[in-house]
Amino acid sequence: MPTVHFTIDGKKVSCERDSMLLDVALANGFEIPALCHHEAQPPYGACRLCLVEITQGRWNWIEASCTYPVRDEGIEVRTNSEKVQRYRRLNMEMLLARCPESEKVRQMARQLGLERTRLPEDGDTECVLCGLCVNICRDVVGVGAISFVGRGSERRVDTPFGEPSEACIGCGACAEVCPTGYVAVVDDVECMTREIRPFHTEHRLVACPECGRGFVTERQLARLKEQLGPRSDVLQGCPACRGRRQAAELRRAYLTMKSGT
Amino acid sequence: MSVATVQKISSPAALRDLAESLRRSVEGKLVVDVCLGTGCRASGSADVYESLKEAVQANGMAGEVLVRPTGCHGFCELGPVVLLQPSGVFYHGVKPDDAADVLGSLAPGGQPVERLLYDTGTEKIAFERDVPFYKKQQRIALRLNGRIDPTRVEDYIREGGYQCLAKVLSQYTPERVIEEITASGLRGRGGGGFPTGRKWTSCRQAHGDIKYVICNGDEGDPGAFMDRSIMEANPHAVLEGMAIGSYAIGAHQGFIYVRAEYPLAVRTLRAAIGQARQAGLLGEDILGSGYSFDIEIVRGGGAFVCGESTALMASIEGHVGEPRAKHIHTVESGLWDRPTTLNNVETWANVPVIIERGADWFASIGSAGSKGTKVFSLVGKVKNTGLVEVPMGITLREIIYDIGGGIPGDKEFKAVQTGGPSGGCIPADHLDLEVDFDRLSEVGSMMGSGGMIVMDEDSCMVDVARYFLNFLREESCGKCTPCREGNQRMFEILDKICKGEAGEGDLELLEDIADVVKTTSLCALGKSAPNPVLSTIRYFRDEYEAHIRDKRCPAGVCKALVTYSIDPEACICCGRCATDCPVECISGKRGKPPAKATEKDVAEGKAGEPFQIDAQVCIKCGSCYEVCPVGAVQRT
Amino acid sequence: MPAVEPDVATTKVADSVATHGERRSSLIPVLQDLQEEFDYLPRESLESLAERLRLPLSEVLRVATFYAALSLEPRGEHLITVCTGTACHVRGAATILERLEDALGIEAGRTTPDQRFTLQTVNCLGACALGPLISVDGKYYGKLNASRLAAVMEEIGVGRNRAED
Repeated sequence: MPTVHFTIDGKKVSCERDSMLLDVALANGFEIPALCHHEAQPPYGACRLCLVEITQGRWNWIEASCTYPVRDEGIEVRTNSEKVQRYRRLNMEMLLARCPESEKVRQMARQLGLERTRLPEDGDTECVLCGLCVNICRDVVGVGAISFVGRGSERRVDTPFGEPSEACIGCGACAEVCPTGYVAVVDDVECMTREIRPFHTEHRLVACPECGRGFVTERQLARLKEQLGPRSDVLQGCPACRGRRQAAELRRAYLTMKSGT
Repeated sequence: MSVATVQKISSPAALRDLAESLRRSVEGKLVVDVCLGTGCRASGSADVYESLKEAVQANGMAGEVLVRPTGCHGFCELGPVVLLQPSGVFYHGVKPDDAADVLGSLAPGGQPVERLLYDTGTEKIAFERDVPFYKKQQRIALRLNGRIDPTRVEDYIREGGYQCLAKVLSQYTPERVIEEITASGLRGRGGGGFPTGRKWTSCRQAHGDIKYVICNGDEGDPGAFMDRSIMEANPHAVLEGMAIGSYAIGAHQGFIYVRAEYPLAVRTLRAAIGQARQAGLLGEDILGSGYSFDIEIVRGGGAFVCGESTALMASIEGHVGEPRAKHIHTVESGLWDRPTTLNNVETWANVPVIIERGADWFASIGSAGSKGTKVFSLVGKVKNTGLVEVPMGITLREIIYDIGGGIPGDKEFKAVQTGGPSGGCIPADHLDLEVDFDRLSEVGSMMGSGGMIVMDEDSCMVDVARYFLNFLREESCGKCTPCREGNQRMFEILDKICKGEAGEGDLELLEDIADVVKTTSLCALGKSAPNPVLSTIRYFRDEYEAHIRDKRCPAGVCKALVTYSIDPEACICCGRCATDCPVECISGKRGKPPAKATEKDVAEGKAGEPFQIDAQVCIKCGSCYEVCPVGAVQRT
Repeated sequence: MPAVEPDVATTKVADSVATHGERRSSLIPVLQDLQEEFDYLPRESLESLAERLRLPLSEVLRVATFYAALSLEPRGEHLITVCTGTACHVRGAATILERLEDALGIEAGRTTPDQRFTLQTVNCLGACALGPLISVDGKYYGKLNASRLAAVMEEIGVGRNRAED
């Protein structure tokens, strides 16, 4: 793949042709805000915060950098020009109105120099519809327990019919990727249950035979066993205990070998 | 409607022979073309058709007279529409009982039925070509609308159909076809106006053995029905155009995406494809050329966003209609990641004609930047509503006044909205604007698919903007922040303005949101969504200010800002307003108006009392205003 | 309309998938067949379809809830559709809609409690010259004004919503 040379905020950079502009910028140490971006997921282009200003010859425009493949030599990219700031703030004003209770959204707004929104703060959710939970559940975990429902301003993320999910395995990947903390895994160590909030789904936790900690859900364990087949005996116990046991076994093996028996 | 079985046509020569013999078989016949398009059907034309057929049978005229069901003639306002051939006599508002008279006027020398003729107010016009609505039109895409039975492929063949495909397959290389289309200057008729030749060239050059052609029949702009009428009236023109285009780019599979709300178009296209396959005009080894091409119909699911090319393709693939960024063009990677050429219905319908008459002929019509003709749906506050096909470069004034007949009720023209929800409103100052792709964009609107909605002094431009934003917020797919949140918020602000609840800063906020939606939305739906707002603010800012500052709606439309009252001096105490009032908020006494009541009348209890509206209860529906015979109801 | 029997629903799914093929691209045509057959999408049919096409149920619902022509709720006996296209709007469609909402006691998009009428809006029926117009069970009534609408409502059995009710 040929290399493309261009500038970001005056600094000379280069990349493989068709690399996404946001990735190149981040790799070169530039800070660009984003909500729907995740290094382990293909770019989605939904939040429109990763905006940059691009100048190419006599053309000048605002672009979402996460989905812009770099193809042309010599483009000039600006990550924080006045125009960029204006449009980031306007999008953020709308997100603040949508998610007035979200600490993450408020924090991002402050970082952009935005204290309040002129719009009525009548939104009642902390979900910014970034799509990361939906995509990871469907494409990486391969379960698809949740998806988008509806269209336009009615769009939301939910389980089928808003009921506890039969497909969810309780792995918590959705919570892991959620940028605002709207999706959360809540474990109850007393009752040995795990709740995937806000998807109304509860799981039983399996206790580690060694330390007794609930470290995985029944369904996730079953699925892992299915996927690992004959090698699933490595799943005995929680990662910490497993690690200790395996370290002990390695040490025994090493000592045995060393003593020549 | 019959489904005729046609034998497989084995070669271009066989096609020519068949066309010739079909022409001979109708020579000397008298034809009554009855419009069975959606508009005329809604006016009862199916019954007119049946009654004409019965009358022909009853009078033993089946040998000489053919009653033919056709697709949309375009003049839906006056339906049911009937056209006599070969005389060209044009009848409108035809009823089943008129059948006998219509047949009586058929024979050469027979007098046209006066009451069914078009009346300009000063004279009656007998021939279609002289009717003002049709006179200035130049029908290319609509050339066979109303002149063939769309359910019979033989009709299309008789009129020369599929000869262009035959010529292309036997005499042209794919490159030659693309050259011809490029030289013609044809630009996409769906809204983008992208040069068709250039699109086909890119697709032809794209890597991949499997390529697709798609016909965009989603026609989502409310008020636009050009594509519907082409699909219903002349489906084979679309099929032939697609086959030619497919040959040019090297594809063998095509799709026609028809919106869910057009069931008749779907049925008509399905039947047409079936017959074309039987005739060997679609499918394997077309006309013995060795080239294969087939078409599948895909129905939309009721989503305006699926008119956008990437959303449309996602829909065909079985996904939601969420657009994607188009840095990698669909001609390179489109449907199932394969090179895809998507064009609009009207664009495809123009292709066979360009091949038949040549690029130079097509390029001689229209303006410098926009060649050929365009079909517009002229609707709203205009006398002659319907489909109008005119050369690019004609002025708005000519379309609205010469063809459209002007504004009904002698009201004043206020604006014309073009380009659907992606377009803008154009005021009277620009009535002499030459209509083409570039000029419309220059004044803040766009061609779009061709919807042209006329508004008069009784239209409130703020209400119009609110209307479009209401539409767009429901149709947004919801993926990106600016379009999803922005359209909703713009609607809310416009709603506030129309209710008289807006204040200082709201107009500025509206303009800011319009700016970010236009600049940062992911797809064309979002990017063009602010156009109705921006264009109405540009040309009608004073109306916005009246609503915001004075809490007044100059056009008298916005209910919260309008008060209905009855002038007691003008009231004749008939009580019709009270009878019709849905909330019974009008009170008074029926009888002789006070001005005319004598003392005797009063004594006998025959004197009336002027009626009054209780403003607290009034829901501003306007029934009383409509129904008052003396105009005593005032709206302020 | 009574709820659809699960067997009936799953059989229809099987037939429709057999017709269109066991592919992702058959999802929407099958949903459209189900919508036409049952006038809505019974839950059992969606579950069965997800199984047959080997898709997560959430994915099937994503598509089913995106497209306006598909409905998860049963419709009433009669479907009243008000055209709210631009041409009809300019000729007063909003008032027509209001009067129907008033008379039926429901908002557009809903069904009356007695299941007799579903009221919905559509963005354009393509019969613009006849606006404002409504369609009742597929039959078009055009060029409506206050009195013509009243006559149509009478014909289809929709009562006037008097203030005292």
